[in-house]
Amino acid sequence: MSSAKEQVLARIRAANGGAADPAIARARIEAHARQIEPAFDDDLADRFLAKLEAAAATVARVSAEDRVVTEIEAYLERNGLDQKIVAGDEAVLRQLDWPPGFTVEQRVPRGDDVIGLTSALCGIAETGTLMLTSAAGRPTSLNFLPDYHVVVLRRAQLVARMEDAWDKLRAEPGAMPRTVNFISGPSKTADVEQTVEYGAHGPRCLHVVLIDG
Amino acid sequence: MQPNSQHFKANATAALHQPNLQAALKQLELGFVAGRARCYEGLPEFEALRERAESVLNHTLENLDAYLLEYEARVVEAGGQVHWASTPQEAREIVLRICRDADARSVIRGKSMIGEEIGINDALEGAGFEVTESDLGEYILQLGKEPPSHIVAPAIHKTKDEISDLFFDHHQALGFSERLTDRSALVAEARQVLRTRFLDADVGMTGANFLIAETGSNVIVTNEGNGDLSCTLPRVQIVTAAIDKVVPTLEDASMLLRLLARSATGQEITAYTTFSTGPRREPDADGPREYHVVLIDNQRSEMLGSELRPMLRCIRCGACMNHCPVYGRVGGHSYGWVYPGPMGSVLTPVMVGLDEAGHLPNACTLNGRCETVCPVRIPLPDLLRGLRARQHQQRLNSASARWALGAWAWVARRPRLYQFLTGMAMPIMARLGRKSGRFSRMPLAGGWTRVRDLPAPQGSTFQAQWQKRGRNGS
Repeated sequence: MSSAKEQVLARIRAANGGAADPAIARARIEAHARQIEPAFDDDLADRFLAKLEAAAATVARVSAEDRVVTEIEAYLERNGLDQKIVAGDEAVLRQLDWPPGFTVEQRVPRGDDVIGLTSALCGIAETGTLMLTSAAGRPTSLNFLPDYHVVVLRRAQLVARMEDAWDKLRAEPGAMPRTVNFISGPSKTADVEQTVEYGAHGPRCLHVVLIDG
Repeated sequence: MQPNSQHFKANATAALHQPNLQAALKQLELGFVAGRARCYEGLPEFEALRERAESVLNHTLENLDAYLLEYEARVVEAGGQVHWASTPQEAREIVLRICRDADARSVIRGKSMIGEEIGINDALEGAGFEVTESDLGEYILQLGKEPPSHIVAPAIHKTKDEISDLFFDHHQALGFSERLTDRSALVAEARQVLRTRFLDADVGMTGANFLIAETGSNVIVTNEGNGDLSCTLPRVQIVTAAIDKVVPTLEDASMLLRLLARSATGQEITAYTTFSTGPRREPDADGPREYHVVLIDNQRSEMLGSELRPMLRCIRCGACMNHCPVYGRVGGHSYGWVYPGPMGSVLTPVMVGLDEAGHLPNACTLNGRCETVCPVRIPLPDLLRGLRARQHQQRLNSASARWALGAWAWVARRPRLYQFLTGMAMPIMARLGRKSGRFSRMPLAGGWTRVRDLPAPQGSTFQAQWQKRGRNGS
């Protein structure tokens, strides 16, 4: 008896009146042509942040890298949070100079960690979406387990649309990372009487700090 | 799940008398339907996207064998395994084998309709695995031992009170002694209970919104982050996906993502969209050690060769049911199986049999709203009509319906006779119904007039009036 794979393929080919030419599929994949992209001409940073806020994220713009720590400090204070952070290992975060009192650890988060700090490969202005990729110093669980997710990125990391983000990713060394996360707001659910509640399983709060300089 | 579609009429009658369900369905109109309309207005490219999505998916279906093989090759290159299954039973056996081989005890699940389709939870529980649904709606239904009633919002029929009771009953043993009535407190308690399950699970199972041939990735979209945790924390990841989920490239997936959430919930994009490709790479900080995809046919290749082929474009947004006047009154459980509403009325007869689900293609007014809102332009009313024709050909409809249709068709094919008979009947009916302007009882149509009146004709037939207007030139 032939394998399930052979049976499924045989039925598909019978339904399609013969086997497809693999070259057609390969050529289309290699071209990875862009399809229809929404037109907009807003300023990328304005649109990116406005879309995030509309999705219940909070945002801050800082003029330079040395303002990031102050902004995070203020954010923690506003939310009554301890200065204990689990952070990803990323260039923009390595440069931050934490004042005394802060505990910033680079590790895989546990279930009860409160604040996760990461950067992102890029920000997509179209929908106000952060694109994060997994790697040695960038655990995916950091994007989901802590109650608060703080993301720092530079204005130069913004792109217009999803397709631009894919091009950026293709330009990175190595293959498709194990995980790519698009994040467009805090975790939410409307499963109790169709009313939105935040913090279903992922972060209750998403705070995006954009370095504008 | 055991299909219960042959009792559609009784199910629907009961549903019409459930005030909670009726309120929930009303809310659906205010929420999802209004949200989709806002998104439609806000995106001038919406119609162009629908057209392109249709053509890209048609192209994919025409070359489906090639794209599936490309996809499989990329998954294997990324260190994952692809398993093929013709039937739900084969799919269940594969999943059980993977779990046993991994010495797993517990499985955490992200909401997936194909999981429901193949009945994976019963199979896993029957084999002694501890299974937890992590989508809040699905978790509520798991506690209540109920099937979903909507493909996007599975527990819309449950009230807060019922959820309070379920949590109180099931969470006391876990140390939660208070019956909560506050919505956010309920969500917070579920988060706490499920957090431990996520951390303890050996296997994480999700479906796939798309499979990408270019990269060998599977895509899931969630708002809760549950599916995303399910495919990140456990040491084994299993993706169950139908063969019609494959799309060629990341760009194609992006285009479909633009349509999916807008059509489903009225969001431009969901909070999370996660692309998983193989198991964790050597230096990666986390992620599963094993990555398995179970590719499931379950009648789809049969549909590919039939007039139901366009149904394979479906991206499971639920817009058709949200906009369906029948679904909007009778809710999802009336349909008696996994998929409700217009898309379910096409899929259920194919997957569980037209004899079991014969009512479903007939529970449609052919108003066409579903086709109008479908993001991939599936001609659902045509497909439902096609199933009615199949039913007639296979003699699955009742003898009286067959006789009546035969008689009507015989007359309708003879225009002169048809005009003569209707020309005779209309004045008689107009006279009979003159007093009240309607009939509350009709011979041979008792089922129809029991719940509604037939308006009395005004005196002459449509064709006679049309001819008269034509002659007068007005």
